[in-house]
Amino acid sequence: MKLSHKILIFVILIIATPMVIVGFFAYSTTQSSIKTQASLAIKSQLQQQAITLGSYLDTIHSALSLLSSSHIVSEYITIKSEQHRYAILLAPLLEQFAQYSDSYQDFYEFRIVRPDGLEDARFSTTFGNNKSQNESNMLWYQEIKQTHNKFHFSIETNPDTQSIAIFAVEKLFDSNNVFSGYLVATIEPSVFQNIMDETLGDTGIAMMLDTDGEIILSNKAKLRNQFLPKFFFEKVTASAQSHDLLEVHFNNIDMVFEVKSLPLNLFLVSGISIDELSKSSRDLSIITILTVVTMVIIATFLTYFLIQKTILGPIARLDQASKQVGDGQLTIRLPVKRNDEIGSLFSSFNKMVSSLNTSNQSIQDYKDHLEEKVDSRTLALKNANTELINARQTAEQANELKSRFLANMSHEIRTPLTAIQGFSEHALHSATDVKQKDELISKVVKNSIHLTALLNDILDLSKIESGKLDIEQIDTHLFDLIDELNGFAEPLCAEKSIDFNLYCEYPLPVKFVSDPTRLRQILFNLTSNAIKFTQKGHVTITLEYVEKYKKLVFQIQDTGIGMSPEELNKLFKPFTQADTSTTRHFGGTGLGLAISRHLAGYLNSEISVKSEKGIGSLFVFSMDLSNQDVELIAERINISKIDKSVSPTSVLDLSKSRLLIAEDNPDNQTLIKLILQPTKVDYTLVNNGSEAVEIALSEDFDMILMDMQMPVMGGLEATKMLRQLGYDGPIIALTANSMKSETESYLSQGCDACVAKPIDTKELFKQLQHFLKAQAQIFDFADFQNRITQSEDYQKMKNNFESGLTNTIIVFNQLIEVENYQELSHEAHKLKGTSGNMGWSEITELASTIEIAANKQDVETIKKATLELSKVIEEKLTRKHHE
Amino acid sequence: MSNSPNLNSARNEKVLIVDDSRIMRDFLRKMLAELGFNNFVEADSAQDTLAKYISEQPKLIFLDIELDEDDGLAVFEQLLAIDSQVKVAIVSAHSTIDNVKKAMGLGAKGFLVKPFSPKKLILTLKNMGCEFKGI
Repeated sequence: MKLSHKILIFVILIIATPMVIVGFFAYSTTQSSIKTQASLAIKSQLQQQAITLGSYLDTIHSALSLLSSSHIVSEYITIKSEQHRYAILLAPLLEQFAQYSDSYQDFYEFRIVRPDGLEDARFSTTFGNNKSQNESNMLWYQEIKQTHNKFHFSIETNPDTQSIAIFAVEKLFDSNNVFSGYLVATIEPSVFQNIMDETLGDTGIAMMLDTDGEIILSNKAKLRNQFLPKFFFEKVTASAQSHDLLEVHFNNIDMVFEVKSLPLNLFLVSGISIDELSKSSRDLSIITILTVVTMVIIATFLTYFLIQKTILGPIARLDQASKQVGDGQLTIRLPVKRNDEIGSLFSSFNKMVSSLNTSNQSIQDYKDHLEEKVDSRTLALKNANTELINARQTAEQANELKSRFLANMSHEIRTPLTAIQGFSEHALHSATDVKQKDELISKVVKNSIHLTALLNDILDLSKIESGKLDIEQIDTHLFDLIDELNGFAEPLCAEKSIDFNLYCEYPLPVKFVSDPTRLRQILFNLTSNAIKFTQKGHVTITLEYVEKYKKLVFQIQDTGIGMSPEELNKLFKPFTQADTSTTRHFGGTGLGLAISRHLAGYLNSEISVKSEKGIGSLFVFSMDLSNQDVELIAERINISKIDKSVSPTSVLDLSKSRLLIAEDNPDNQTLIKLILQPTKVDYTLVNNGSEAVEIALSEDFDMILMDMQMPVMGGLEATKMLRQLGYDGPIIALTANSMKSETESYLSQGCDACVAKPIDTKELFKQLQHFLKAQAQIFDFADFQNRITQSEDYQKMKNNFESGLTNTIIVFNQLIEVENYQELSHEAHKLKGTSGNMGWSEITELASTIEIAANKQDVETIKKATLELSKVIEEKLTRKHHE
Repeated sequence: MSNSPNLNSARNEKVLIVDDSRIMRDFLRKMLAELGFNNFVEADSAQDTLAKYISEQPKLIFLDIELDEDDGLAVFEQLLAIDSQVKVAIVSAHSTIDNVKKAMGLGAKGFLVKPFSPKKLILTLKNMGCEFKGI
């Protein structure tokens, strides 16, 4: 069922039902009120008629009574003699009658009738003839004879005029009160007839009944002189008492009657047909019903129309729009004309559709682009896949190369190691003379140097690869570099009997900003390669500055074995060119060129090469200096010298210095001892940082050599502790980790310098000399010490101490005897603490031994040490006494 | 210039010397006097140390770690409870690393190991905030 139907039914139920009920109520109320009004109308009509009739009858009655009792009438009837009467009284009587007739226009005939019914006197206003003198057959005569009433009243046809007349009859009594006739007045019935005719409506019936139920007068002529049906008359008589309305089927019509009693036992009955009576009320009812029905229909349709207009219409509109949106018509918009809920709904719907439209469009856009995207992604994926495949291949190659390299390296490292081991063992066990030994050991040294170089190269390469290489940017002096290069290359060339030339083409820059160490590494590598692969001829280095490009160019040319194009291709690749046969034959790690090229990249420079197999090679190293200002000189002015002040062979005298060496590795300890031996330095060796702290706190050292990687406590922790406790002497870190960042961290945390392991003797000596020189005594502690020890106070203290020593021995022995080792330990501890400062350091150690032994309750050691202690004390005291 | 700077310039910082050995106290006082100090308080037990510290308010304290009955480090902790900034140098016949670590953990300004040299004493004093001309 549609919503509109539902609403229609609902509206009908809600509106029509009460209207129908109200209408029905109004209808019935109208109906009954109309009936009441009708009955009231009949009653009032009847009342009026009755009153009129009654008063008229009364008038007749009183008029007749008055006339009958008049003097003339009384006299007339009292005179029994006919002639007498006629002669004397007929004229005045008729005169009297005429006067009455004038007064009462309806009275058109007066008569006096004898008791036997013969007319005695007659006055008539009409000129018609009197047809009969005998009235005995008249209805009025017969009726009055049968009643005792003095007055009678009859309506019958006048035989004279053959028309209806009222006969009012008064019995006449003479002066002796003897019945002597009748006074009869014939009255025009027009008054009655008029009253009768005043009925209600068209169907109205008015009747005058006498006591027998005979209809005396009626507006309906045919009813006159008929008798009412008996049941009707009974009802009439009853109703005359109760004044109720009578509903009777009379004359073939359903009628309503009202009854009224009249004087002279007459009844006045007036009625109207029910149809006519209810006609007006029926009209009203029809109007009421019509109104109700019209109202119901109008109200229903009006309500429906309003709902349709305000709710159902918009809903249908919305429904239609929704369907259209559902079909994809997203341009649909509903008109927002109203400011109510529907307007808001429409506006929301519009908003919804427009956002739907937007998202739809973006979906559409997305759809449109999807394919494109898919294509581009697919392409990207394809590319990525290709890259991935390449990367995998590269990685696999790299991995393979690294494995191969590792195998090579392992072999490379093993080679010098084998030589070192073999030569050393041979030197130890087999070599007979010194010359042979020296020869073997020099081979060991050569192999060691090679091994170190190899490891350094590997380290460099791994640093380069992991991007951890530290590059400095400092002033680099070109001529220092040239001198070093010269000093490096000349001996090597001389060894191989080849010529070495170094040409400088001026002008050249004096200095520039670069990393001199790395620059040197590159140039040395290129030069040593040239020398290495040249058996005869020369190695020539040409140096020039190309002003146009602001480039410093080193050309290193040799007349060596040269390279084929294939070999040239592999030249700079680190893991590919390590050709073992070459390295075995020519030495070197085979990594030098790869490292050099990387370094060159860091130094804003490049290395290129030209070579011909069997003829020689030309390596060109060119450095871009365009980003810096350089000062050019036309010739060399000042030849700086390589610092040769420190060399392993020059003797460094450190005999006055005390050195603490913390190093856990016994071999390294031995090596350091060997290195330091010629300097005659006084050193103490400890095995870890913790021992270093303990001894550094209790003894004075001029310098500490601190290995950074030690068990128990590392060098860095020990250094930090000492610094915190105020130790201010130099601490030199020994470290195998030569990374610049690590070195900086050590320096910032209390170390004064770093020396790399394996220890370079030259470098170590340089540091020792530098710091010990700086450490040169600025304060003469010995002098200070002397002043104290030579003071009187101190001597007193010392004497006190010495005089107590003998007693101390006694106390020690007593405590040993009573086995109070705790107290013994305490006493020994005190002795240990004071003896040193009292110039008795020889007993400090013994006191310490006793203290430790006492703690362990090691009786044997206690006794032995105590005995030794007493001996030492005794000897020293004796010696002192002798002095 | 002489290698002996003028160490006799008067130093008024009050020094509390805590040691159960009178000889050691005398010796330390002698050395400090030689360095210019002239205001000394001495104590030989924990209780004495705390009492003197409160009554005399010394600037510097040399505290022997092995007192007769008491533990010098415990005394140090009690001193720290009174004044968290107290300047204490530990004096000990042992430089066992555990003691050193404990002393440093408490904030000792120095760790003198008996017998100690003038050089060690001066370094310790410097670490306690005393300045010496030329050193």
